[in-house]
Amino acid sequence: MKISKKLVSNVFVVSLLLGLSSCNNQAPLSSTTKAPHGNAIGGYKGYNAINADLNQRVFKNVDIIIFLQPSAPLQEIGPLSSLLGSFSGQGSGNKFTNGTPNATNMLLWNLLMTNLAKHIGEQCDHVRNKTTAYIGGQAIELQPIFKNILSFLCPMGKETNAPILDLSQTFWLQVMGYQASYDEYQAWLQYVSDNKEGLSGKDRVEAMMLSLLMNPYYLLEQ
Amino acid sequence: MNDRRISRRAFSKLGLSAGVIPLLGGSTAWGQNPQEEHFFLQVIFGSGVDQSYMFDARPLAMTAAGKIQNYLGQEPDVWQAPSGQKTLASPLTRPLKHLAQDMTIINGVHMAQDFAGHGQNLNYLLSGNPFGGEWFGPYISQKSSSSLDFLQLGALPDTTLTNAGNSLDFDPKGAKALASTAHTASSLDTSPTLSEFILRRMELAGRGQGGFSQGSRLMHKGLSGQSQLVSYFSKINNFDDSDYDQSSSVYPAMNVINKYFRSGFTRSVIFAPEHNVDTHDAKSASTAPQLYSSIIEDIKGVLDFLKETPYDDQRSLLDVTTVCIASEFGRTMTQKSKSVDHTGTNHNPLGNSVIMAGKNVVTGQIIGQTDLQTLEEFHRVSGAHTQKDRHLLSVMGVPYDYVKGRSLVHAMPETYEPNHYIHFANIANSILNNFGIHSNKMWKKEVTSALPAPVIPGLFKS
Repeated sequence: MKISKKLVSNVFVVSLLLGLSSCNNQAPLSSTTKAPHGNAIGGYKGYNAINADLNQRVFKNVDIIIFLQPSAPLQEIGPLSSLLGSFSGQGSGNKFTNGTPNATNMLLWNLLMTNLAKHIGEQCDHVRNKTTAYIGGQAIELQPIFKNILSFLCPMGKETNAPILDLSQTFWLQVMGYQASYDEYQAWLQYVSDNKEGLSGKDRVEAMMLSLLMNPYYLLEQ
Repeated sequence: MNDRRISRRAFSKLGLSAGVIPLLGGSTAWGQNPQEEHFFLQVIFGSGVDQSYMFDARPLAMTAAGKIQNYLGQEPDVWQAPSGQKTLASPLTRPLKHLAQDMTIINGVHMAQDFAGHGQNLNYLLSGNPFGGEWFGPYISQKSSSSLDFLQLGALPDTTLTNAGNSLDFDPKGAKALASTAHTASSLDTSPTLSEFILRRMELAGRGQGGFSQGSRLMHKGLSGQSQLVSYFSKINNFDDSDYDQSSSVYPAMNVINKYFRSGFTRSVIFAPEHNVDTHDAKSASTAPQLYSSIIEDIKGVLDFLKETPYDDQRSLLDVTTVCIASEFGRTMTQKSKSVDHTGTNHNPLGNSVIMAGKNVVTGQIIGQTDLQTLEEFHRVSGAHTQKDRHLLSVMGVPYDYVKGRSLVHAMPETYEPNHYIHFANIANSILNNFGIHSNKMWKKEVTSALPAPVIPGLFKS
């Protein structure tokens, strides 16, 4: 039986709407938590802001610092979140530190986001098999709407352009929201389109995620 | 090298743990020119140290006369430096006696002009400007091909450093996790196409003029330099439980400093051990003996660690590191209308003290002094002092002759003129000069001054 493009699109839209309606606590996707530190140089939003954002858009109750070194105990790597842009001190002495991009914190953000993106790719298997992923004994659950997107995106092999690109737009909006310019989205979409051949679904999802999370529009305060 | 002892065992342990000295492609190889190995350690005891419990004490007769609190209740010692100069030092400083030859004490240092706040004076201590500015640590690191401009261990609230972008501010306890985490970056396997795309987006976002573009450029630069950074971290990925030995409270931090210096990662460190000596109330001021015992223990820990830690088979870490130990200001002798038996102390930017040690410092000296050393001096106070401190609640550094290199103890200037005194700007410029930093980076005595503050003659070897 041939599955028409129209059927796929209709099923997808219905599923998306069902997914959206089941997320009563979903925050609006048009903005993200902004670190109010007023950095003169465009510094990072900071760890807490990014963590909160990803926990609205992608994860459910996950401290993303675990992705910095998934094999290490959380109590060991947890304090490293302060190196990714954070407030320290109390009262009038409270200040935002480690917020300006440099080689060291870029190394850490790159590590964290690379491992996170890899995990999202691996979630494809769990979404398909309806199992739960674990890191260090902690269940890594996804926001239902993001899981919904993966359920359509991950199985896409050498399909026609349209579904992957439609899904890519949904993926972009779910993770990046409207933080980036339309040109940025177009460039990312072009990359996804140019590089979808020969990649498995999970590898493609991983690449989509990493290229998005390491974008200045995602990490930096604007 | 001096006749200090460095055990072979200690050297072997550190030699194995330090790893191979890295070659930095295209730049002067670290270790090829031993004369170039020169680090800077700024130790800051924040919240305002009362120098009367350190190396600028006062006789009990002054306490009996109600001029200065002394919750220790003991007569100060005469601390005679190897150079012959003397000062009154609290008995609490006795644990530092064995280090007399290794340090120079500078008393009577003036801090930020007309500002008495912690943040203002910390900013002045670090940048020469009470409103914040550049610290000179990055200039020192940038003279070599260090990856990091400076490392900061400990909090410095209310400070504004405008060149702290390429620094790391973290708790020493996280050093092991940082090194092991960073080490895993060497096994990252991102496709070249994806890496190129990510870098390209950063580069394009960095083409604008604003803050966001500047941040994007820094992201691009940071991500592009990962391989060199991973190589630095591989040299310091050797922490074990002994690195967290709590026998000295400063040991974990000093161990991190040692590893980061030896690996070439950075050449400058700010270390701010946590103490609160902001004793405005009588109750907290009365705990001064305990507070300052702890601070002196930390100073001893820092200097002993540097002295006893080998850098190579001939030199200790102290031999290759210039050390500056300071607080942002001193404290008043008492508070207005309070009995010295039941008083707190307020901020005193007119009578601070600084300890210098390490590479190129002419050690074993006492430079500068404060006034109001005896009861008699309260009857002949300079106009400059009363201009700044009408009620004579503070000691103030006396004028200093930069030509002859000595304090003008009997000088009684009628009005306050900053150029007459030792300011921290003079010490900072002496440090800068020692590191060969250009004169256009030097500090002024006041922000509005035309000329840089002169270096202190004889503080550093020429």
